[in-house]
Amino acid sequence: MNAEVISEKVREIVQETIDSSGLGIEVDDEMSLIEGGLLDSMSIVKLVQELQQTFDIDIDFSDITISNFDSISALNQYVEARKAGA
Amino acid sequence: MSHSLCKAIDQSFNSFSKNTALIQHQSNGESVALSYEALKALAGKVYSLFDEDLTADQCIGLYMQRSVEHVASIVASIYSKSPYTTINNLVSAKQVCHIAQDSNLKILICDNSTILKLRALTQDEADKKTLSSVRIIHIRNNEGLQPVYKQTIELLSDFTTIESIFLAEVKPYDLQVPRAETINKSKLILFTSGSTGNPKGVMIKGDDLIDRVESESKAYGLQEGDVLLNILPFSFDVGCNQLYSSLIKGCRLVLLNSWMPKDMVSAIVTYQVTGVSGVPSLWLSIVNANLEELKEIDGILRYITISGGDMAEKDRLALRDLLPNVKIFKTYGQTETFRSGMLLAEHFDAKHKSVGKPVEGVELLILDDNGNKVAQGQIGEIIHQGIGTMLGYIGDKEATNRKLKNLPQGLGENNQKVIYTGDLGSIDEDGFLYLHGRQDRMFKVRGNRVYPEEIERELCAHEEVIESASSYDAAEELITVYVRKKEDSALTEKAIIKFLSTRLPSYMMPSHCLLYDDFPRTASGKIDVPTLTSQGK
Repeated sequence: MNAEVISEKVREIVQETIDSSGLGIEVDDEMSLIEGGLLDSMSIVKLVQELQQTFDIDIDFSDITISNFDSISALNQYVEARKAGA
Repeated sequence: MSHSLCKAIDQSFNSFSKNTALIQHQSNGESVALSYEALKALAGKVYSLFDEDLTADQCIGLYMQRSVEHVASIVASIYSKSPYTTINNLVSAKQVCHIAQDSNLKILICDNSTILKLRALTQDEADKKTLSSVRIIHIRNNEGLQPVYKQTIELLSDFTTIESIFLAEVKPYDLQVPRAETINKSKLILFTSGSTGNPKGVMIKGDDLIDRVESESKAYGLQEGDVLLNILPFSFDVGCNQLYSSLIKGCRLVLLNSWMPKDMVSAIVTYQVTGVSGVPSLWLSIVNANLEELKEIDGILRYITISGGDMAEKDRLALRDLLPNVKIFKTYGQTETFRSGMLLAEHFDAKHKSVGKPVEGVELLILDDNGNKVAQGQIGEIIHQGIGTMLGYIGDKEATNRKLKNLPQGLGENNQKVIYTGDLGSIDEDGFLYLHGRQDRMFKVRGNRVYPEEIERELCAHEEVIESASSYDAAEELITVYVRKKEDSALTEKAIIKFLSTRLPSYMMPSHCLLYDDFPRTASGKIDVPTLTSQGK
């Protein structure tokens, strides 16, 4: 899975999570998801589950931080690093 | 008027001018620090945006994420004659409309996180009408306006007044303490999450807010040099009071926009936090996170609070074990009373099941259904009088009269207004208060009184259960329980029923049990029971 595919899938997952809350907002890569109030704790749980399944990675508690989860671009970097085995 | 909230904060701006008032932790790991002096200057700029003809009966609404701009807007509102309300940035735009109607909202301050949510209101004519009488101020955090916000502002400007402001470009304005007699008696309006129906606005007197600060600061021993971590929303009385206490006592407040355990723990280490006001779900996530840094924070923190609800005994004790050197306070109250009881850290080990004794300036009575005092140890409704008592619900006399009443004759001064909390409690021989659930949740099965909170407590005694909730279908006489189990647990419905059957009398046994990995939540983080109930059907 290359970086482009990862970033496309991450965007898709995040957009779906936000759509399920009925906000009707299209997110861009830099938009603040947590600080910006677009994701609440319930959606984070769903998001973590989705990411784990889609990319076949284990996300540890100590990785669920605002620096990894606050934007699509931050999530991209995190998932890429995990897929690369970091 | 002897003192005012505004005067006390103004005094802090003079006494602590060079100290750091706020640190905002940002998602990129960097932080923004603001001195008391700088906070006053920023608040002055926000104040200068308010209408000159703003009257004392018009309300200012703050619909923002936790930020230095949010705190500056709170301070600016405190310097005005008007009451203000902080609206949780997680609540929907629909609810904002409801709040605007109830509170005679004149100004609504938004930021990037909330302005987008207001788009939802462009679909409904009634919502548009409500918003048309409100002036919206969008405070942005950078010079330019990104396309998505620009487009949103254009959409909204079709039916309401809206302007986008970059505070760095606003001219300085010198804040002045208003004359006490010109200020609205009700200074703060907090909307209760209201598990059923629309939220109710609780009106709070400015002087009472000062009394709350004094009482809290004394209990926690707050002083200049303390660093407090703010995770709770300012729309919640505990989070709001923490902010006032921090400002008035010259402490440093760290603003963290994350409820994730790792972020909280890192913030405590990075900023050397001495005190955290928290709620059960937050401590529960810390207890279950199994993070290495916990040992380190035990040496940094001086105190933490468990507020806004209680934890299961096993989790409370696990928290105690994780942080053996930290003082743990438990507080009990409602938005209508602020704080009725507090369990001091020194009593935690012996009395951790109780919610402590009445806080200073508060008197509690336990009354039976006929309005008589119950005997020691007996269960009755908790009546709150003294500091913390609300002025009433805004625009709802009927609801106010049900909650805020005179005591029955012979029990106190005739015109003394007290709060009928609707909570059931008992007091032990040492004067400690124990909670037994909500009066309106109590029901009878075959003539036996059932307190659903007792069922939930027994569920949480199970090692693999994190949280629980329950509902009762009166027509069918059926009890349903909802269980949030640990992620890796293989717990089954059958196993839970079997576990309960050894601990509960048969009339308290649930007929259905539903398992969850996480619960739906209300904006304030509480379990959303109505949603659970509707899903269970």
